[in-house]
Amino acid sequence: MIQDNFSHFELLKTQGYSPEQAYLEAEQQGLDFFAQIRMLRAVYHLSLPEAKEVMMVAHHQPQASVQKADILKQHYQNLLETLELVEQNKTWEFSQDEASQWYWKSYSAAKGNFKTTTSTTRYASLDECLANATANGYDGGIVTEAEVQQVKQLFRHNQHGSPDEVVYEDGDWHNYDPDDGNFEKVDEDSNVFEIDREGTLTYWGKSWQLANQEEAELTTSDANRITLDFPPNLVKELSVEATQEGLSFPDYVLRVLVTRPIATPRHRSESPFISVKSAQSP
Amino acid sequence: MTKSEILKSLGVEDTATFDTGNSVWYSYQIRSAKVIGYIQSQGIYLTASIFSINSQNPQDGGPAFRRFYKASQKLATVINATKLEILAIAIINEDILEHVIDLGFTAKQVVIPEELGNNGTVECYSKIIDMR
Repeated sequence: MIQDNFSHFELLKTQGYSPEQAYLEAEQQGLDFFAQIRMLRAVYHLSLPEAKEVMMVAHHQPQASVQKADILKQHYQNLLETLELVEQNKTWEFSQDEASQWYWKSYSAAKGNFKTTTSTTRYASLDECLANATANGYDGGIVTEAEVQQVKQLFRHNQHGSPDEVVYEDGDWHNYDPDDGNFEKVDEDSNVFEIDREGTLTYWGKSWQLANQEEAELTTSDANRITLDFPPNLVKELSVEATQEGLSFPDYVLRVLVTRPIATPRHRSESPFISVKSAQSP
Repeated sequence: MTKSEILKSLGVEDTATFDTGNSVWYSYQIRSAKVIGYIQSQGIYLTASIFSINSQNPQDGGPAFRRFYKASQKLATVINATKLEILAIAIINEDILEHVIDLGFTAKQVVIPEELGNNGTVECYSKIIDMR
């Protein structure tokens, strides 16, 4: 008598995994062919032909699609965790106090590595503040608590909303430079998500925008950002999809991030999404 | 060919034990066609089952099926099986079904083995070959 323990897959099922996703997970976990079939039949109550069809359908789906969904999910998690960390550490501040002096605390975040540095020094101007940060070699930047809260609020709004209620960016997209490969959304009221052609998703804090407005000498490497890289194979796949959709690569990727549910939502009603600012948000 | 060479041509894992009473699963690919199935030996009776042929190009299904068909017969010979039953389980691909029927397979209800989550029967195409 074969004794199976498919509790892990039962759990995945409750989290909204489709039979195809569970099957691919079983493959990844190294379950043998028989165990994969038994899992599908036991957990999803499929007949043998149905289980077989699931296997065939799962393999017909490009692996990259599943990988893509996982990566998008990872991006979402990384971004959210980073924002949580910022909140916990209370290391961000960038404001003008009553005496109209700038003070700052900064952080940098790239590829999941996070470090903080703080300063309570006050500066007479934004330029001076930023110049000091640059002079001290900080590769991080500055972000306000309000910004973090705003982004988190948007994430959470979308996380609990139905796909029809996802908040979309509705600002003017501009500054797309085909040669530079950057695409950015900059306006006075929203945060910025940028995708470059190498597949790096970057969140730019408002300080960067502000610095631009002030024409401060702030290079991109000095700006506040959260950077997440897409692997080359995903970039290639998304590029093809973008062409098919008649969109630029960055535009398409942003739309994917905004509109596509991340893989394996914990609950179907709580599919996490990534979104950016909308004038229609409540 | 030796038993291990035949099993290798079917993509049976090196670590799999193919003895009487044991089922081993196999998986191989010919061009776009990926084949999955299992083989079970019970003394002089060898059952070779093909569970799925998944091909993007229908033309690749035929050669993929023929490898299985020939390898099964070679295997029966080297292990001295006198009866070989080749089972095509729940065939979906119409192009493969054509091959199967051409080769003299007939429809048959088969009890689903425990390894596949025994629960009733499933329709297969079967061909029993006398190896003596």
